[in-house]
Amino acid sequence: MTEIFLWLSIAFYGAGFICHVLDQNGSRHTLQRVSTYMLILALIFHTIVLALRVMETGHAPIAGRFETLLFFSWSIAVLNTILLFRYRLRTTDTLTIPVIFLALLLAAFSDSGVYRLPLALKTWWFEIHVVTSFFAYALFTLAAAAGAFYLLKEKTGTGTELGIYQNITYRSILWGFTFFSSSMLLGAIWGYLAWGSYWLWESKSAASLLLWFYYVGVLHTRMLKRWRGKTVSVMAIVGFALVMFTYLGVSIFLKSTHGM
Amino acid sequence: MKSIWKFFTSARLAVVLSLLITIDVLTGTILLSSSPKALGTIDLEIFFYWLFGTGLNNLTASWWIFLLLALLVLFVVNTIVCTVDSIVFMFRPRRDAARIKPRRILSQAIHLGFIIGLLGHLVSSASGFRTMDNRLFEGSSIPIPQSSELSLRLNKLDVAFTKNGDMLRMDAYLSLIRDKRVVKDKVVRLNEPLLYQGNAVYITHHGEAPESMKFELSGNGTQEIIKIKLHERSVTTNWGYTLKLENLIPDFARDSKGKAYSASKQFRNPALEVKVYKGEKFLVSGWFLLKYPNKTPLAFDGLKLVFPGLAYRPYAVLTINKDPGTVIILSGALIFIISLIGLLFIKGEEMELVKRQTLK
Repeated sequence: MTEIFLWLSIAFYGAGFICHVLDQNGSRHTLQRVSTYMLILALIFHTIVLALRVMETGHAPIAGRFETLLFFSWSIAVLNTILLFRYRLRTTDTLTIPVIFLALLLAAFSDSGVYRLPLALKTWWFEIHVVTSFFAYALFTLAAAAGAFYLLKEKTGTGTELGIYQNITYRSILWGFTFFSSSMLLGAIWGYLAWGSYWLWESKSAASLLLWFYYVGVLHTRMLKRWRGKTVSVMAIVGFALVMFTYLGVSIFLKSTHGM
Repeated sequence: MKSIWKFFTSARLAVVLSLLITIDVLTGTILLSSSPKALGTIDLEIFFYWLFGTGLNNLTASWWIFLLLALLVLFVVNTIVCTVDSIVFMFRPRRDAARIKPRRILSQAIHLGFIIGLLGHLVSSASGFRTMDNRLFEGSSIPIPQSSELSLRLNKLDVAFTKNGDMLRMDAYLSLIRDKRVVKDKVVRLNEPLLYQGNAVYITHHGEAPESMKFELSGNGTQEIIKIKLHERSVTTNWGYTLKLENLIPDFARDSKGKAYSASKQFRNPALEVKVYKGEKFLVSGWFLLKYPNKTPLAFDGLKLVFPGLAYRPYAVLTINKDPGTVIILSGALIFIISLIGLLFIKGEEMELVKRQTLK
């Protein structure tokens, strides 16, 4: 059942994306509307997959690669929906939906076995630690998408348009940084309660630290007029690469005692 | 002096230092994974003791930590100077009140939270203690490290598993004792440590260790269970027989004449020789194979002596830590995050991902 809804959501994200790309200049309203409906349906199926998974495992869908990929992509999809309904903005979809699509595709080919959570992970400190970190990752992804659009439209776009992209980049990073800092605090509290140390010198924790300092740097560029615009946009894109390194790179290529 | 001050008030310095720290920690992330021998013991000790001991002796793997500390010192100086500069600017006389903006105050509160947090890390890195693998048997006590008054007693250990072998619970019923009086009782589980006056007690795993040899003496329709503790050599039963543990052979075998000997030094087939006496009178002796309980019974006086196995005693493995920096870090982190959230909500517009008027 989970698999059916997973493939349905992948298909609808894919179809919604194609319709959206076919109507890049927004001239064909019907196509854009179809794309919107498809993406909403995809999100509904995606949410059903998560709900089924919760019922199946009895815990928040945050353990292992399969579940975290589902949750990470779902967080980006929710953000997209907020942008759509609150601000009527669809442009960043061009870059965020492929991320959702790829994450779900990767999830579809990952081990989806149901495993009992180790006792140390059975605490809401861990659950909100992971949830907040994935919301942060989603916001950093949105910031990178807006940054990429800023660079693409730097020469052709209007001042207002570029301002919107800069706005999304900066504010997504500010929100993402808040979520990420909260996640690090919650993780520290969990670590202290679980094994007596708020910090462990291992790859995943170190990668989180580097990500945190990186975005400290990005937020401070706001105070430097010369660094605004192009530099911040480039930094947001590099930030996304660091997010991917922290989330997937460490788990796949390095040894870490920390989970996904 | 002015130029040094100006250098450290620079936001550009903050950005550059952040990026340098990022590059340094990125290298560290890889080294942490690739040098487990050199860096794998950091978490077992108080940080500075490790750094200036093991860390100094393994500079090829730990150099990035020294560089990180140097960069952090510069970053902290940068943060403090910026904060002081901003506060002085806000409260400078004859300036208009508009300069004291909530946004500015919150930004400095974020800096303050960061500095307090780092101060906590400094305290953590230099003080307290970490002890791991403290084995505590049911019914026994151990002292709390660096405390002459406090001791810890394990009253009961309750461990349960599912049919698949997954752990369901691992509960240690602990009492903290001062001057023979219980000052705190706590069921310690994973994620639920015992916290008392800065000391924290965690259960990490559990086990059971052989405590005594168990024998069953039966005959005439009655039975007596006899236990001989491993450090004792003999015991006298209620029926007046004395069992003496004579010899232990690691790899039991018999030669062609039936004499027992050890085929190797490995504990492949350990066997124990037991001699039975009635008062001073020797009755019988025999070998009990420890891996094969209930085999080779010994018969005497119409009775049967059987070795059903070793008697085990459960124990909890505890980590006992004291980290005076934790509360400071928590306070700093809370100030940091609350100020950050405040910054997002300070004006109605700030919490929006896009300035709404730009969309009209």
